[in-house]
Amino acid sequence: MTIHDDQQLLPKDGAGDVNRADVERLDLNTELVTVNMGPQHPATHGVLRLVLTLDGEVVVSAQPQVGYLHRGIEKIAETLTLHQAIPYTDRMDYLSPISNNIGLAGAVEKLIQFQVTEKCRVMRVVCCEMARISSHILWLATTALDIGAATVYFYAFTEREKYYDLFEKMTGARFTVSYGRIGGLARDWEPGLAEEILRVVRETPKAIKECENLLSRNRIWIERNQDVGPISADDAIDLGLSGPNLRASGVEWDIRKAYPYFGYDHYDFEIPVGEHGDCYDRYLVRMEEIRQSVKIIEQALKEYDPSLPLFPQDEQSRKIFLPPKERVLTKMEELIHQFIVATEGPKTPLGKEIYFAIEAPKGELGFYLVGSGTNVAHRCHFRSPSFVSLQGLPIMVKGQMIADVIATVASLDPVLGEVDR
Amino acid sequence: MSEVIQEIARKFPAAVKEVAEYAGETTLVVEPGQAKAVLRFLKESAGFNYLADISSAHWPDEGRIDVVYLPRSLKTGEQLRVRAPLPVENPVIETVSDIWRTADWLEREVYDLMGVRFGGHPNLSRILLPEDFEGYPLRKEYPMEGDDEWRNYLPPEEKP
Repeated sequence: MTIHDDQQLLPKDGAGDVNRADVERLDLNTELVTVNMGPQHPATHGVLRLVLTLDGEVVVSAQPQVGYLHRGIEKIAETLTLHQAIPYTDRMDYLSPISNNIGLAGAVEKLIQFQVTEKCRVMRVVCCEMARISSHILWLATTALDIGAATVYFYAFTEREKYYDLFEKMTGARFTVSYGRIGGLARDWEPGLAEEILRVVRETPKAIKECENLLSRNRIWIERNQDVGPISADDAIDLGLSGPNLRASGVEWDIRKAYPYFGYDHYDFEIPVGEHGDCYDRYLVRMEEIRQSVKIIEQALKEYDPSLPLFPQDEQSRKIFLPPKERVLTKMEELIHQFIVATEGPKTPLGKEIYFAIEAPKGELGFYLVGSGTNVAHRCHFRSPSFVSLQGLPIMVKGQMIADVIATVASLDPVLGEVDR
Repeated sequence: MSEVIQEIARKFPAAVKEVAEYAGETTLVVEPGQAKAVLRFLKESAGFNYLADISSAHWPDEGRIDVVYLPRSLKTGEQLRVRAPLPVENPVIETVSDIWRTADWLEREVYDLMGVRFGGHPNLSRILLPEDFEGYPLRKEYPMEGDDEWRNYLPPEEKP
């Protein structure tokens, strides 16, 4: 689907290009300056260092330096049992931890060939889409703040807070939720939570519209974003961009459609696609994705039946997942299962390898797992979307103004916890 | 999918060592010397225009390090895993960063953490770890913790 509504856009008069044209026309005698932007810079969304070579205010080259937040999560995950590895994924993309957890759980299930229940599948879809909405809302807030639109920041954070309240009710934690479990989810939803999610989700498009009213036709917003940090579809594919950044360049590609996981093919939703691959299109794509996520959640919650079991009931499956805590503490059988699963856990097939990708809010989050014959993965590699999309930054900002670097970094939505792992 | 593999087997008869299927995914194990030719063929003739991932795995008992490529066609959604087993004593393979530009950082990450050297790479340097780091942490013999602090670490009062 297309994201541009021609009525919405102001006619362009080239007012934003005056500076660039001046630089070229006057042919000023300038010399190159190298500037470090970051690692402690509020607009780099974490510890990202950009080494910029500048000609006046024009960027000649940009070199991102990453690794300040490297914690060796892959190495740690290869020494722990697969259940123990789940909390570490929270710390990768810490703005949508729930989709990381569930992604790893889905990858392990693919490796050990395990089927989750219908109810679990529906709950996972709802969780992943809620993570997408809250992540995109946070992106909108911080990007608007970087560009100078402080009001949007407060509107958006008010809305995001509602989602974090829901996550808290669902998981007991606001940020590092660790909610995904191999074979299921950590716990069932409280009675009435599904209705509450539906109520909050239905209010979201209205709140988004308020922010859009402040931005989409705002002259400053348009001039700070349109034709800033552009990347063509060919370059975006070549550089491996994924998620909204790839779609903004006009490539209709979404893991949810291409390799449907968790039954995404049951749901009716569209992929928003941009045209120019600039910051403004990336903004429009994300806004439309929020509305599509709302559509998916509404459809998924219709299928949600609280009376169904969260975990499979057969004896063989019980050796895979950790039983719910309240049953562990009250039933002898479940205590034994808990002990067996925690100490032995699911056995991964030796030498077998899988790649499982989900459409995380930032793009394609991939898990490459190799089985070891024990309950520890022999190899656990995370393909993080932010790491790959940062690589495209030098091409996007080349020849742009230094202020546009801020807008472009923000529009790529990198999370440094995920870049450095 | 099998058509692509058959074509590869026909064009590069010495390259394909094994074709494995698991969980609906196809893995092509290739001779490391021919890996680049196979990947170039996939990009240029078979429409695999997107490189999703480059990863690696160390098998100390068998003395090898696998480099794993994941080319994909965004038009048809076809995806293939190409695995090149390298000897652990001298893990060298040609770069594919001139075929897909995204391979630049992905190969640097594999070099940084696993110590695979990519011949012809424009800037093969550490990316996540500091430049003067020693060793390759994702190799199996690399310890989880050491006895001492990292040699470059000095408490603030001892810093010159």
